[in-house]
Amino acid sequence: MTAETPWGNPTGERQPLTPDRVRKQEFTRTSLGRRGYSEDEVRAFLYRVAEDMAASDKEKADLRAYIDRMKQWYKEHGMNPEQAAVSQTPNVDAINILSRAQQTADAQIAEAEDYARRIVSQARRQYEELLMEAQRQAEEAANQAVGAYRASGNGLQSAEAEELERRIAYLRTFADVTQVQLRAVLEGLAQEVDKLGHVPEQAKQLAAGPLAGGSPSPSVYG
Amino acid sequence: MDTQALKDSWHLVSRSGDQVPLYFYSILFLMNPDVRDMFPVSMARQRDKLVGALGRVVSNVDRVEEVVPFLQQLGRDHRKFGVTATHYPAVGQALLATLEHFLGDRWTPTLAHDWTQAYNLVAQVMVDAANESSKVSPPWWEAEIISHETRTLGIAVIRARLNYQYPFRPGQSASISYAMRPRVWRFYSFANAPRQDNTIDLHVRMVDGGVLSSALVMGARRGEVLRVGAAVGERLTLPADVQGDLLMIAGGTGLAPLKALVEQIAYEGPTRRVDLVIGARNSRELYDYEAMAKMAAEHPWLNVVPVVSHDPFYRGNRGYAVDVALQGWRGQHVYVCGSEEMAQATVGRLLDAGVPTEQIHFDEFTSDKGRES
Repeated sequence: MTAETPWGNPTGERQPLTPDRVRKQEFTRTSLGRRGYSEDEVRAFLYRVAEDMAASDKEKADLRAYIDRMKQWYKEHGMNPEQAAVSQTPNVDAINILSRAQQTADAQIAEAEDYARRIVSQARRQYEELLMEAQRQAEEAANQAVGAYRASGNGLQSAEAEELERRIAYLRTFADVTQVQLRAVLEGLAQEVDKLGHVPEQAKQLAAGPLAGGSPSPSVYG
Repeated sequence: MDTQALKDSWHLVSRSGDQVPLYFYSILFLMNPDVRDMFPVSMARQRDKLVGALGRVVSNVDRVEEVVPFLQQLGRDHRKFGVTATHYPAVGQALLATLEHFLGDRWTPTLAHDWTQAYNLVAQVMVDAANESSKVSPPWWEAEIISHETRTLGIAVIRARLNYQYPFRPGQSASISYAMRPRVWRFYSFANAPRQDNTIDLHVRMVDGGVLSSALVMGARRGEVLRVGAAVGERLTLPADVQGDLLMIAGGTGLAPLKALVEQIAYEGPTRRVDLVIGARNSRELYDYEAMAKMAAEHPWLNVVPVVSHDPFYRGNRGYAVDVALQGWRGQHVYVCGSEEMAQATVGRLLDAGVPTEQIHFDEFTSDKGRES
């Protein structure tokens, strides 16, 4: 059930890796919790591999451009009979420049997305831990409250009152522990999420600025 | 047309990997700068998609019956990007120039002729399908958000009203985009059966770092407008030949299409017993349990069981949804929906437990499709 086969390659042949595929490669977790390679190291390595691949792609493109220029030269000097077509397509150097710009943009966006992904998952983990800790403390406080209620024994105790004491103590502790900290986590999370959208938008405006006379970009729907 | 020559030359070209689509898009944009704006800023995923689609077409070029429906779907689907018939020749030109560049000496006039013919055929099928669908449906629908509820950190339930009548069946999904994240489309399942008032419900979970899901959960507000593509997908619908009782297993927001099926049964029947096991990591992620419990109270044939896997303080069923579900399996058809990980693990467990393949309904592309695109 690999995602690639049905869509990409019915012949079942291995597709060449692309920098993007290397960057996004996921690894199965080992079954025993968190044992295995350091996630950061693996991730850093993948980025290096992706960069190397992109660099070698650039080199190949340069070589092809060089070959094309040579061919062109031969043609211009009448050494190659088949002259037709070729020239109405854009200059191969222009194609290379655009390709490189695109690769640079791709790499930077991938990096920004990866950064956002890490920050958000970190914030989520923190949130889970905070809630768990708050729940634990609240349980403890509730049990204490019940103990105190029982100890105060004046013969008028009822199960309902006891449950009420338990719930009040639970909620009070839970609210105390979570309120401030959770708000901080949530705010951080919201900020990161907002950034996620603004980065490319900003970059676009900067890029459009000088040429477009700094006019605001048109409708967001584009 | 020498189909073997086409395949062979494509095989040769595709060995250059990412460089091929990189070159293709560069040449396309240089010759037609206006087209650039139809694509997202990052093109990395787009390049993979192009190679995938081309590879599929070329490898099946001699089995027309397999390629045509795929191309028709592609043609219909491209309407939402604003692609018109006039764009196809430009793409063809860029494709031929790319092939020529990568094939070098092997690019012969005969091969050029065959590729031109093949491309024109492909373009014709896509344009025809697009024209055909433009007679009956708009390129996309606009849906105004009429409510946005954040149910827990990272999960929102969004209700939106579509501007025209929108045909879909429970269990289907559609690609959706949002003005705050232009040109990003992602598939979401509808969480309801079609309604008179033309509203749809979406259950959106924030994927860590996911551009669109984050914006929809944290940023989208009432009054804003979503774009919705045509409904697609048959794997999770309820066809007439699936009879008798059903067992449903939902993981997280995978509840959405299953809830739609429950509504369909409630509206249309036939009445059958439905056991719906809702799995979540913790109790907070049982984000729609109240609504489901209410439905269960209204419909005696519906049984809803929440199961929580990672929450030591949860007082109800603890464990994995599939294990609880298997205790109640008595030969029913089983519907599964959740994250890719959850769906794979669940289907594996079902098969191990002896549930016949043909009785397991799940969309192997739900999560794949669900990736940002």
